[in-house]
Amino acid sequence: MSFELLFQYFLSGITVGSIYAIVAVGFNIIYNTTGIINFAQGEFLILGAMVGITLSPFLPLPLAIILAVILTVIIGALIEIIFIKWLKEPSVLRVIIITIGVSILIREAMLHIWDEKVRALRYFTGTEVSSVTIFGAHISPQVLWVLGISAVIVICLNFFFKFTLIGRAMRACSANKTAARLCGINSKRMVTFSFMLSAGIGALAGCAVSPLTQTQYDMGASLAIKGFTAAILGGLGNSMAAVAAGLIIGLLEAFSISILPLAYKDAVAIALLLIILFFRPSGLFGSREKSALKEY
Amino acid sequence: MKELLLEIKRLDRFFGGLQAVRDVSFSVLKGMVKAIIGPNGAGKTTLFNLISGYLKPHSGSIIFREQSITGCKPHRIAELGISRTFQTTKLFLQMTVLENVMVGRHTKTNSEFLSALLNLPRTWREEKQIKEKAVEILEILSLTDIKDEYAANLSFGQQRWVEFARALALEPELLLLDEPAAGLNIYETQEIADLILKIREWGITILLVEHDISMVMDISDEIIVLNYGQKFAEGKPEDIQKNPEVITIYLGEDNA
Ligand SMILES: Nc1ncnc2c1ncn2[C@@H]1O[C@H](COP(=O)(O)OP(=O)(O)OP(=O)(O)O)[C@@H](O)[C@H]1O
Ligand SMILES: [Mg+2]
Repeated sequence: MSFELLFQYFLSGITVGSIYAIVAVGFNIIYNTTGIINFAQGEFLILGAMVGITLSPFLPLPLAIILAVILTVIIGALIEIIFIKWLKEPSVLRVIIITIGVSILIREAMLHIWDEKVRALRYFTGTEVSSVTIFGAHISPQVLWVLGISAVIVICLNFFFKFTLIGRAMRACSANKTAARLCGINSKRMVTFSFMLSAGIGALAGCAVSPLTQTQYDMGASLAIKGFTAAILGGLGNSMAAVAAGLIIGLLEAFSISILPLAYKDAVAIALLLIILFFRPSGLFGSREKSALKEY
Repeated sequence: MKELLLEIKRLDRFFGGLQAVRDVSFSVLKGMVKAIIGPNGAGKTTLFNLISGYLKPHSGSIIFREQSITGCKPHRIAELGISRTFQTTKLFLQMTVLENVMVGRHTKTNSEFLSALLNLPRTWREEKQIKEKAVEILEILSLTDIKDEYAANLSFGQQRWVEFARALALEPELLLLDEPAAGLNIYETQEIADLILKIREWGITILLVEHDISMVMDISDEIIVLNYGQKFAEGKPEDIQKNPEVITIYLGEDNA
């Protein structure tokens, strides 16, 4: 295999990997404040992209994307308020099943609104034939957009959780809900915030990747599985490790194409998920004690 | 005449068939240290949980600053000015000492998501103020040296102090302390007692649950004795000390 080809695989690997990473981070944000896995996370990406695609003919692209993100954030908040907020101390299992239901609901709604057609947002810069050459490999500028946006999301989130009032309050809720409430934090509101936040970053990532992978109403589930695998691989709740794990899975997938038939691409992530769940349920980077530290 | 800060009226709380708090009434005047003592399982922590909103009473009422807080949510009660520490410390273990104390100032800030986002300069200013205040509190409690340590890495005694710092960051009017000296040695207990008296000098009223009787006698203005969820006696430390029935409850029948 030539170096250029390897590099091409590498780039396509970290591109999809960075999207898995964002999905995984979305899982973690909600997991950290609630202890649940939100299986509608993949739908947030598709929904954001679909809204962006619909608005883009009428608006400048940045504005269409911003509106798509805002709308998805609002829907994220509504989902939490309508389906979860009013439950009195629900069991984790019950909420997870609710999120699965919600994911089906969103998917069906998207099918009605946008039918089965495969759509795509237009390229942020250039067209589908433009390319930049890096180390002899020709890549779409959109790849750089995806990587850049993912990096910015991750950096901003880090900043948000470390240096802002609400970010810290969300961490406090995940560290110890009882004590957080003692400090005057409305833990229920933090749960709503966490849904808004992960809906927002999901929508942004969905828009960024849409020109490359295209968007269809039912693509959320497979994204959710990849993102979930990344979240588990990194150790649930650990967002930085999830980013690394997302990239690893993306790379594995990309390179698997060179040895396995294309049809097995999705199987790679699922096989990996099963292996981790069997042998290292606390994740590659997580330690058993640390996951035991979490109180829910 | 001293001002009434907290009034508990005929409070009842059951756990299944067990009545953990039974018809308890008392009041706390502004500026005093009031202690609640009683044997294990007497209902002291339950009483604290009722006052701070973690449990709802089955009947009775809790009035704070002439306003009923019966059945209010914990975060609402914190906003109104009641803070507490827990029998087993509940710090944010994955956060630094400074961050723990900063979270304690949550009620003193504007935490609306949208307005925080729309007015970034003010949000940023506020963030700075929170930090300054937290640093100041840590200085007063001589915790500056450990301010960047993760709470999980602290010793038991240090965690206690950080929990105090976090509770004080809320600038409460009433501070509930659940066994602040539990697990501490004589020297550390004395330090905590001194701290409690210092806090009272700042004008913060204190309601204290404590098993260390000598400490309670030293620092409290009034004492309530609970037994099987009921108020058994109430009075000044000297009177409680002299009450033969209290001695019986506390030391058990055979020692009396
Ligand atoms: N959440 C709960 N569910 C069921 N029973 C409880 C609960 N909390 C407390 N109890 C019971 O209520 C009674 C009073 O408990 P509480 O913790 O208030 O006692 P305490 O006076 O604080 O005791 P200690 O000195 O051991 O801390 C005990 O019998 C306890 O088992
Ligand atoms: Mg107790």
